[in-house]
Amino acid sequence: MNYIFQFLTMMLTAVFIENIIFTRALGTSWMFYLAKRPKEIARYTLLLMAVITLSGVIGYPIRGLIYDSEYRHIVIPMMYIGVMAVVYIGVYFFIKKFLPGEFEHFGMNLGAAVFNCAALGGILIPSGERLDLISTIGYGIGMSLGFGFAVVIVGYGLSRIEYCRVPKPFKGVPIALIYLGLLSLAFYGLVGHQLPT
Amino acid sequence: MNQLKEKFGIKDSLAYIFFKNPVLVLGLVIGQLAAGDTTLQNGAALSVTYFLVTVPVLVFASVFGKKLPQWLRVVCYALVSTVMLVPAYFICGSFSATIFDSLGIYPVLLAVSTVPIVYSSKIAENSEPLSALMNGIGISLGFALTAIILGAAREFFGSGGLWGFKFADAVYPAVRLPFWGFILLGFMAAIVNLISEAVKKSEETKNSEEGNA
Repeated sequence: MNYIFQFLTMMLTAVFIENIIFTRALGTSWMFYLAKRPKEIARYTLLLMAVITLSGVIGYPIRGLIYDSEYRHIVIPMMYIGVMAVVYIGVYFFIKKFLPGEFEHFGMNLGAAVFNCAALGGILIPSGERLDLISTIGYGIGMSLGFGFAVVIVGYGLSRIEYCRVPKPFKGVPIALIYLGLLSLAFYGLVGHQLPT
Repeated sequence: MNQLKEKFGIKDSLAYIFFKNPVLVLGLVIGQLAAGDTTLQNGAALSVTYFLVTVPVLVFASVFGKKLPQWLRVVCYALVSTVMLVPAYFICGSFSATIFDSLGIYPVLLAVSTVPIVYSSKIAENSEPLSALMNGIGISLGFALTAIILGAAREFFGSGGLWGFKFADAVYPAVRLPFWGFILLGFMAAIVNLISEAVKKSEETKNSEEGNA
């Protein structure tokens, strides 16, 4: 029971309190890409969840061996990128063999969907905080759900902004960034933070 | 001179510095700057790291990309950019011993950012090595320009100093938080749009005047 509670707590923390986009600013370019393609969100969120969870679990015992290294700030990420490479190869051949329709759908984007800042960040944050295995899995799943949640909110907002009279220099990337900043500020306040003075 | 510029793709590469800026115009690598680029030193460290992880990958993709099987390409690009984190770690350490620690995961994430992974697969593989090199340099300079301006502004207003030297009281410490990073980047992107539009208009006017003459 304790494990389930721990798992759910970490998952909800990652979705709302430490949201991957609004709090950590990870995977924003990928989010902007998906925000324009609402039908793709579930597919890419599931793939992100699989990559973060599998890489987190495989890398967990190796992390314990190298965590006390003097160069851990560089060695641990390198190890995890190596693990992600192994996971990518596994996912590539799994989808190609068992889900050929999905494989065609992903096309060239499969690599980018696995190797991106959201995936690596979702693995490195629990590692840096030295979370145990249950929390690492819960946090990883929460991070990917939080990513999907953020894409839906931002995508909806951006689609509404298209109908507004935005000044010409602010059209496109500028207004999207300002909107993201305001959402990020709203989340910052929502979870009870106060601005530093 | 213009022919030489076109031959080596210098004209296109220079456009990445401002008119096709990877951050402010193309909307790439935003997260690392919004969350990690809070001081001028951080901006410099992120710029050096970005240069070192991007340029070799683009050159590698243009030389070896098409010789590798499809499934192995992205893996190789990710591994090449990851290996380049090692020199970046030591170079950045030379101007501040704790810079990589203070930046947390953000410099490392540059190794799997859009340009080394996506741009290599979609564009650099079909380019000549020299053109890929020039594009890599242009993209890195564009990133550096944004990172340094943003880092300096946030350090100045957030802690009242520059490059670690404090010479005033912090005006608004919240400017170092990620949401301010997004908002400042949004305003910088709007300024770039404004300037690009003005340049485009003046070129059109010049061309129409030449046509009339």
